[in-house]
Amino acid sequence: MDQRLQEYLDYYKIRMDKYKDHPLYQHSYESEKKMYDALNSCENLEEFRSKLADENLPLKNAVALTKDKSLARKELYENIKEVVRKKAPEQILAMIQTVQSVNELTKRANEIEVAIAIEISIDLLTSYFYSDFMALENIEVWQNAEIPDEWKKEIHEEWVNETIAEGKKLWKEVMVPESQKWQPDWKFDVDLIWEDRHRRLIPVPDEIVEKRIQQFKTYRGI
Amino acid sequence: MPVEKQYADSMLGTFRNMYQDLVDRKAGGEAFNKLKTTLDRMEQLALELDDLSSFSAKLTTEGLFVNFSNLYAEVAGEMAAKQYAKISSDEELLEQTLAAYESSLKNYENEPKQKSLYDTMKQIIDLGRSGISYPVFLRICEEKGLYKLLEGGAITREGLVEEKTFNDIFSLPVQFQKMEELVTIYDKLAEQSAFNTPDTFLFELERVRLDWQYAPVQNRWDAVCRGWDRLLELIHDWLDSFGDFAPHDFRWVAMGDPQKTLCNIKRTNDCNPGFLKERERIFYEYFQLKWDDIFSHETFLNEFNAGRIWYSDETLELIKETYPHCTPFNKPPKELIKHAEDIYHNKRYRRVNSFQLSEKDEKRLQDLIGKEKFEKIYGIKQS
Repeated sequence: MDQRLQEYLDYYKIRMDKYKDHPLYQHSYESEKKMYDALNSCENLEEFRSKLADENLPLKNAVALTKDKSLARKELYENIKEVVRKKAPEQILAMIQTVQSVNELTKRANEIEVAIAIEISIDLLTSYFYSDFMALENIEVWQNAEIPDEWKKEIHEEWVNETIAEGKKLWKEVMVPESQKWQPDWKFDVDLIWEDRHRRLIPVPDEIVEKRIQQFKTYRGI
Repeated sequence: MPVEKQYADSMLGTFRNMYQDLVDRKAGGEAFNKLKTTLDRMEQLALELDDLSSFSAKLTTEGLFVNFSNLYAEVAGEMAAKQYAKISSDEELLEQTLAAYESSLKNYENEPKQKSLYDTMKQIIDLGRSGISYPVFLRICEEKGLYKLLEGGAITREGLVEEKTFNDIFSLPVQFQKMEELVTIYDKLAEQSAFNTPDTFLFELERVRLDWQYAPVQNRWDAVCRGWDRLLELIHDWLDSFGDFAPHDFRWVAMGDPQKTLCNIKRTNDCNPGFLKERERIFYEYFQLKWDDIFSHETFLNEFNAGRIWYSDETLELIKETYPHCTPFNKPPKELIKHAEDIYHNKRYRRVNSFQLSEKDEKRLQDLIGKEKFEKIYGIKQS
């Protein structure tokens, strides 16, 4: 065998072997193996270069690696119930069936990641709820505190009403418009609070969350 | 009114440079024209919009960032393909590859934290210049895992250990535990690798999983701290509001309005016990913790040992003594008020060296981040 061809064969064998028996990279191994077998079946490098181009083997390698990584990401997000983040690898897995070039693969994968990143940012706006806990606690304390009569008007009423008025104003004039820059028809969805990815970050019992949701709606005028 | 120039420049600077790079390299063609149109749209938005958040949102939601990046890659790819089409030999391919590495090497020459990256790149270049053929060069790079090392394997472990040490110095136990677990994962993955460095992608998946696992733990920790901190503050303020110093204390002073100051003091006198009762109820509802649980709770002990409890030991003991008296419609005993006054007038209310690192931890931090950075942040010279 031509020495240069043997050197390339040794190189592609190493590339193939690094994925061998690796549970994460099964498709990459199969694709690199096809590359190696293609080279091994050639008499010379020119024949190999033609095969590379005709069978688009570099694209198949890129698709295989993308597939392996996307499957791993999808599995992780499924396990941790991150349903929005899971969309990116899911959509990439669907897309890779149709690409014609490595450039197209990269381009469309980037577009998917950016689109889902926006969805993730919007989903994370659900954290407005827990961020408001300090204000909601204050309101609850002021509403219910056992205090002398001379203070009740100021604290039970004025402090509470002023805080709620400010909360509604800020929500309407700032927080919703800012959020709608990312999604024009955005509205806070209280049901999302109960989704595992959000609920697990709120370190209080369910009955408190229920109570705080009602208080949050009043505070923000939702 | 346009977005402020400094912000527009900061957001668009990289893209302008990338575009200019292609102009200097005499790029052309359809993808290049589309790239110019995309940049023009970004510039137009910078002039039309009047706030940074709208600008940032528009750049993202119109897909301008990703379009620009994709088009840049397309143009650069087309130019590279033309260039490689002119290359007829492995020797020319090897030369092109080494030239690219040699050009990158300059970026890491004077970066001590990037020494590992620099050394790996140098190793690749020396290998390529040793007289071997292009495929042998490629094979040896794969065999020695040099590309893997370039992914930053060696640097990442150093970074993890630094972050773990940082969390230890600043007594952040949840973050410390997370980083400790991450270093263990790193080492386990490295052991499984032929090159003693973990697969970067696998490691990042593990990092995502660990961040997910610890996020609620950190949130609970922070919420418990906030809870007891509020209780201590209510009692401390309540007792102090009866002191002879209250009319001059910033907690109640209304500038130029002595009547309002007195009103503020009376409000605290009268209402803090009611507030405390409600806060205790909420604290219990949240965490099933009571007042007596606070001082042996891991969160309190950690903050105490980390020097982040502002109150002196004497003030803390006084707060504990005051607690049973802080009930609705009640007042503190005279002896406790006198004690509060004595503490205040002799400035014994605050823990000495609170929110400061011990000498030992200052040294550890300086060793970690370097003398220059330490002095810049903390403004003191270590001997």
